[in-house]
Amino acid sequence: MNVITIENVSFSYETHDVLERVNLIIKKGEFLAILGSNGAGKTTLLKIILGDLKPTSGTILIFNEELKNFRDWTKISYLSQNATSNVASFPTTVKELVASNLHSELGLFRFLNKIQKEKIKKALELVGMEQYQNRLFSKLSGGQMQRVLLARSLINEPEILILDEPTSALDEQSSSSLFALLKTISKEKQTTIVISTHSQECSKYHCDKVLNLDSVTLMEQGK
Amino acid sequence: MNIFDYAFMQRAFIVGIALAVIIPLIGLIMVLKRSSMIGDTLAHTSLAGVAAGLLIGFNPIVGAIVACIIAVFAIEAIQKKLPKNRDLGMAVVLTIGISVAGLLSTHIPSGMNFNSFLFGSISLVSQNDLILIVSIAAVILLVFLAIVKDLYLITLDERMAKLSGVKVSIINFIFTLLTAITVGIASKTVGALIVSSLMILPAACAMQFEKGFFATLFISIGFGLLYTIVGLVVAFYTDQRAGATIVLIGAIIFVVVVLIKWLINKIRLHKLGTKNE
Repeated sequence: MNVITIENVSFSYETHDVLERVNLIIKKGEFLAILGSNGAGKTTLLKIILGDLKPTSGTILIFNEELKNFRDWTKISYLSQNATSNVASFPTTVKELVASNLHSELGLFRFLNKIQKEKIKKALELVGMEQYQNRLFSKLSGGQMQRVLLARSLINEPEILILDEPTSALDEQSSSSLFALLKTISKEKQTTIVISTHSQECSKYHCDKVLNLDSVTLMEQGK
Repeated sequence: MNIFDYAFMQRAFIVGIALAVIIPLIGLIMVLKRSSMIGDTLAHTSLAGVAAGLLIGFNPIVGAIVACIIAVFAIEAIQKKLPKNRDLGMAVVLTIGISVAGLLSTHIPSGMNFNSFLFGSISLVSQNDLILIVSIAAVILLVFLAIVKDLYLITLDERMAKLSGVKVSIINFIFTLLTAITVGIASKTVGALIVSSLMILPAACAMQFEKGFFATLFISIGFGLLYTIVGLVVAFYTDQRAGATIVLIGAIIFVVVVLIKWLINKIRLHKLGTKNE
């Protein structure tokens, strides 16, 4: 099943062309890495998929529906490039942060019921952070913060997970373990993952497809 | 005579406690949104409403609320025109507000005590003021509780809030209105020039405890109540202005909390060093 279809998408900021005729099909459960040097358009492409930017030309289909008509955004989770720094100075516990993505389910005064508590526990277990529920988010290491934010993105069991350079502030070991975790999630949960990254390791060892925006080429791993 | 034998002190405590609950709630969100300046802008602008009220002959608290609401709309309008310089909107409105207050105040008869609104005056809180302030504070509290989960999400991550279906611009607008009304009703007791300090100090103290969002909200209310109760008692027995005393006590408590935290961290590091040796 095609989850995201990008057909002849181009984008320019005023006179500067950023993306030119990008074509791509991402299927359910696939793990796609978008590579490219700084300014190649990785974040721009993600923003186009999320409907934040309108392409100059071309079409985007999400679950075979044109992006402009697509409404079910709860199927998509997004982890922005600066998510960690946005939250790092905020007084919030890991549990509060992960629970925040259950927003639409929570009642007026935000008390969590048994099912929601179980969801939080499961999401944190998935990323190996279940013992940190009551810790202050800002007291965690960079790698742990990314894992908690990932748990927050996963709590609603999204069908598509989009991550913009999630390892930019992590050391090699933490990055490697995060990529491995994403690969497990894409295989076990059949979650479609789209990630923008500079990491060659991710593109070589973990993902199914690589879109290189420097040369606008698409490679399928192991094929 | 006991402090509570005086009817005006009873009124002051009731109004003070009502404000001590709502002001820190608004203040914490303002601090987390990094928009502390809005409090100052509205507080100064409220003086224009107070002056108009005293001059024309309607309740100056209502005047302060109306002036703050007009200021909110004006700030929004200027910020829409100048999205790259959002601070300018607040600076311009603050300047206009204080200028209008200055001009109007020269025409207010001297017996009407415009100055008491600058630093607050407990003895001026009438029975009608009490009913007005406590009723409005109750409404503010209820509305705040109804939108607190949206505010948490917006303050944390506006984009995520939008994706989760939160009507970000509506919630932001309601919050700014709550801020405006809070500043308006606090102008008489606490004083227009120091109400913004009372918004920031409880939040600043509570954040030193490094707890989660909801715990920090409760702790900041606790500090608001502590400042107000101690401030009112001290002001009564030393015959000082209540608003200024409350804020000064808040500032002293903040310094003490920061010092204690620094000391605890020092001891902890020392113990860790000794263990490692």
